[in-house]
Amino acid sequence: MTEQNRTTLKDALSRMPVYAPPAKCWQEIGRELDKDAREDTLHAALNELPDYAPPSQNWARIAETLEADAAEQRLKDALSKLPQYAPPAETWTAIEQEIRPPARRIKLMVVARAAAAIALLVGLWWAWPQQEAAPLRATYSYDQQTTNAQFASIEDWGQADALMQKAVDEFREDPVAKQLPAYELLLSEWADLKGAQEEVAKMMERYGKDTQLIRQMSEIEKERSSLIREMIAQI
Amino acid sequence: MKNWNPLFSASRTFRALQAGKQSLSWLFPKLLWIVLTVYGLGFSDNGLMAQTTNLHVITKRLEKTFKYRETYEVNIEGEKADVSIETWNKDEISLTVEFIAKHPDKATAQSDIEAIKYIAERVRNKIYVRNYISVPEGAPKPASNLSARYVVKVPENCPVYLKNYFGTANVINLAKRFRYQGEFSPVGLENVQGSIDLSSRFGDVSGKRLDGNVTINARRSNVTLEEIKGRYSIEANYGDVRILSASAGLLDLNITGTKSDIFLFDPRLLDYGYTLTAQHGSIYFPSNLKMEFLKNTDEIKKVEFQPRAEYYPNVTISVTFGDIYLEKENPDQRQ
Repeated sequence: MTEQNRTTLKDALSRMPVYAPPAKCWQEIGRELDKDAREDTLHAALNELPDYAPPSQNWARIAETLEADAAEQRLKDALSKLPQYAPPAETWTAIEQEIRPPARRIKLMVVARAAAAIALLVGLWWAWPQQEAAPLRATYSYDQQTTNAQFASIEDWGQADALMQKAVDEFREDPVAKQLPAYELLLSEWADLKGAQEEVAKMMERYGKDTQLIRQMSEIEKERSSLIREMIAQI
Repeated sequence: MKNWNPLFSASRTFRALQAGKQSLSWLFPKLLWIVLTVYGLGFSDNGLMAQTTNLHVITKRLEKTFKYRETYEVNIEGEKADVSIETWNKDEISLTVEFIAKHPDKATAQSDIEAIKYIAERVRNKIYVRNYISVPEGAPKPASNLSARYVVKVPENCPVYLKNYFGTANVINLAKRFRYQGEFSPVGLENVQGSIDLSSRFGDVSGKRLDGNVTINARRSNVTLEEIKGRYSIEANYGDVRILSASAGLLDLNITGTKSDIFLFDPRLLDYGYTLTAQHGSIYFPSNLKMEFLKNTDEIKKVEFQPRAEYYPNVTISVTFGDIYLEKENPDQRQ
């Protein structure tokens, strides 16, 4: 800009209209300036506060909440897109019956409980042992018979028990016998027969000795003897 | 089980002496034989004296009848009982039970008979029958020889479950379902059909004209079956299985045995398919049955055979420590 132009510009500016802003503008500007001045103090105080780092789980919880909110939002979006259906009229009738006055419900509960009690009684009656048809009739008859059987003299089983057990023990410990394919089978067989013999003996105690029981005992004793022979042959 | 009776020993001694007499009569004078015979009768090897004992026998008989409905099942639990189950045409279930007490003293027999208790009742669809011994605390145990005997009559379609501990069982003509669990109790079945499930320990099983789905578990029990039809699954331990003959309706026969010998006798052996396995045992079969050996070692033998027919019954037998025998004819019958 030259000196010549300076004068021209000065003249133009002097001819421009003067505009005075409303007073409230200046007031507003003044308040803003005052606010900044106040906040300077606040900012200075905040800067002087000690730093505090929250625990990490707080952030995790916040993140979950945010995700849940997002998921809820998605659910809401999806629900809003679902088609709407009007239920049939009878559905509302049924709902109305369900929410009928409390007094009526109490009456129905009493009736239901009574019905359940009756059903229980009927069930018990049905399940209870029935004394049906003809009652049990007992008649007695008497007879006599003679027998030549004297079983006491032939109760010789068990006489060789100790000897047999000794053979079994030796078989059990024998290193050669242990290699046999039937080793375990023979020992379990021995236990089986011993148990059976005890069962027969108990039965004799309870029901008395008779030919059938003695024959069964004899068969078991024979099988035990045969088993012992088989074991001894392997030792 | 072989017949064994201690009472035979005296007569056995007598017969032996008689036989000896014939062969050695030239050696001993007649009088000496008479003395020896008398001695043998009096003092046999068992030490049995020829003395007789008089026994008082008290029998308590009970009878009860139930109306039958199609859903009912009869459950019997016998102890020292001889049970007989048979069918009839009435819509009723009839139970006749006898308890027997034998003792040289009549009062003892009369008292002991009451120690045997008895239950016969219907609970829902099951009719329970049971006997057992019950003595009040402190009371002496029964001294008599006690036993029970059942005769049960049911409609043929009535399912029956029998459990017996010592005793015997005989069943005929049942048509729907029969289950048996026995210990020390031989069981015999004749003309029984439907679902048949037998489990026996120390009690031989014998069946004639069985037809249906048959399952047998036999432990220390021999199994003998004759004229069989249907499907069979048999497991035997320490007991032999003898199939004396099959019928035209045989569908499948599966037998597994441990320490058991398995015998199959049938004139139509060529009509069946076979898979036979013997571990620590042998397999015997007629020469015209052209078996294919799949394994033949000292330890295990396995053979197979398929007949030319399109449909045929399958016979599968596996034994461990036992042998398998296939023969056209039962040698016992031949004799």
